[in-house]
Amino acid sequence: MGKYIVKRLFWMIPVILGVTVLIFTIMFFVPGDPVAIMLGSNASPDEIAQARELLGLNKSYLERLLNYVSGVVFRFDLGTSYQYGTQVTADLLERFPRTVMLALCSMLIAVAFGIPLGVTAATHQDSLSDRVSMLIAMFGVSIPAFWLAQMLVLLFSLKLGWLPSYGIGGIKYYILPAISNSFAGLAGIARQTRSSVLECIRADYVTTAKAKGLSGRKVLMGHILPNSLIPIVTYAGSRFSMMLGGAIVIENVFSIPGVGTYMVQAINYRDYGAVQGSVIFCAISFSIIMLLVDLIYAYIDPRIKAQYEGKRRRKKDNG
Amino acid sequence: MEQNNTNQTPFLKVEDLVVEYTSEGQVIHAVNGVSFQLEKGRTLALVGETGAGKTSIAKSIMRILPDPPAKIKGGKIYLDEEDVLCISEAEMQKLRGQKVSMIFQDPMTALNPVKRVGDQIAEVIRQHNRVTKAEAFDRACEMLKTVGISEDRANEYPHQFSGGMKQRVVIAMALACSPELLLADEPTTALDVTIQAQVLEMINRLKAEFNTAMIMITHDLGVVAEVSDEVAVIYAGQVIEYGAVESIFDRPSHPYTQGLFGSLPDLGKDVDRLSPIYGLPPDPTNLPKGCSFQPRCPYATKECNMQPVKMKEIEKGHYSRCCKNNDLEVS
Repeated sequence: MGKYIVKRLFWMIPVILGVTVLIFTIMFFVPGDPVAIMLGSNASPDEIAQARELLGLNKSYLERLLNYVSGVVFRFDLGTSYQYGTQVTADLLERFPRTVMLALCSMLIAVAFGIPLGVTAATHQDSLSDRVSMLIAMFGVSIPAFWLAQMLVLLFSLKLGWLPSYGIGGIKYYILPAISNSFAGLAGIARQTRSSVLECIRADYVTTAKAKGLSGRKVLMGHILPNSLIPIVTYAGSRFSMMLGGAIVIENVFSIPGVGTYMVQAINYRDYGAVQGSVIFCAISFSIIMLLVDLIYAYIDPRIKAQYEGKRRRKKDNG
Repeated sequence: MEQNNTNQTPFLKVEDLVVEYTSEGQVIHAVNGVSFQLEKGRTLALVGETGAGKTSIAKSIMRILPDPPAKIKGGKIYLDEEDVLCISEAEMQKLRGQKVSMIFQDPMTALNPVKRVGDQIAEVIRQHNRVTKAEAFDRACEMLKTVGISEDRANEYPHQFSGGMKQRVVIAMALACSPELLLADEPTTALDVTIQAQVLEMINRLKAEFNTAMIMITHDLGVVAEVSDEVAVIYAGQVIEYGAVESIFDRPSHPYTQGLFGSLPDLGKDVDRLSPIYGLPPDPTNLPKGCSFQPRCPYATKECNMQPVKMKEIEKGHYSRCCKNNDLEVS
């Protein structure tokens, strides 16, 4: 298992390289002069030329690419923001904890409510509670997050005055953003749970478990759920890694200075350096989460674990 | 059944069991008034084609039919004079795995793929006995040894076992609490012949050891001969012939039973073709009004489709559901 993890970590290098080259190339060929944006319209041609020289923008494509890629891979240097002249890596690392916090809270809510909702729907298939659960899920999918966020602010901040409506601070500041951010994921997890529990609920081993005299709850917790977790984990994992890329809308609505707002700002100001850096940053966090998801698979399903380990064993035999 | 009017009530008594499945508005008559009884230490074989309702009968006794779509519409099942169809779900849970247990048909899917086999066996032991986790696991290991699997494999997962070994695990699980009634649903169908013999021998041995009553569901007449004391031939959800294994094998009376034996290959005779029973089992959504075998029966006359046929005792302890019983020559 340990070897598998190491192998997977090494595999991340070509992925990051590929993404870096791709993003750099796209940004390179995008029209518009970053220096002109940096210095504003009042800058003289001399000043512009000087700045270009300073930023190394006059070098060839290949030279700049190599420079950038080696910076990313060896020093985790994601480049410089043209707008502020700051290090993108430092900017992102400063904002990342807030995004992670928001994502974690949202995921927690989504899992804590989504899975029970889906299980209720599946175990009471075609009954009233099934219909109600799926109706909630459908609303969750269709309600736009920004609208929900504003409604929550109206109610809890303006009307009741219980919770702050924007900014950062203690956990209190994360409650409303996390709720509005979790809704779509909650609904998705509920639907995914329902369908995968339904798939397992008629399985032979569930009948076996019932034949042992186990109570309905024990059958559910010990046999049905462990077997239906894989698609749920897949869904939750991809959802979570998307959130790590910044809940762009929610962060903006609640003015949370996270990765999402940083990216939107960078795009607004054509801060190519910052855009480039944050996209690569997201790609890296995405692949780390996917690695974690794969490891969770191995934990919940021994057959998958055997596959990981089997590959290694076979290789050993050959070599 | 109208037999055995002794004072002692039998250990298991099934009376007029009716099971229906509902599918897309259609009612499937899976079991239509099945009755039989069984004493401790004896084995009853339920023989019949696929879809005849054998498994539904067994699952009714355990009350583990998938509901919906299945529903027990009528009948009584007495286990030790207790009607298991009337007791609460909680009481039923106490019986399941403890007093009654079942060996399932397909060992490939009957085990939970993400749980260690030892834990799966220990689970049933813990459910019915006051033991610690470790004690239960030790007993699970012992059970594995009993069925011929080395105990150091208790920590492995089902995918690491072969089909025959999985079936043994299923058997170990069923026998873990020394049940008084064992329902074996085609325990050997998914296995190859050499393993079949081993498994049957093992079931026989364990049955003798625990003095268990057993219902053996099968469509393999060879298995019937090997393990059973009594035989009930099931056709379209009805018992059409019932009796001791010797009398059924030596003097099959119902045309369907005769057909079953007729379609067995006989090594002693030089024939080019087997003689099958022609036609298909009746559509369970639309059963014939009279004898359900009459559309395929070589002896059928108009009279056969007039009204449901009653069971008749044709010799002591040997019953048959055929209106021609009197004029049929018993071959």
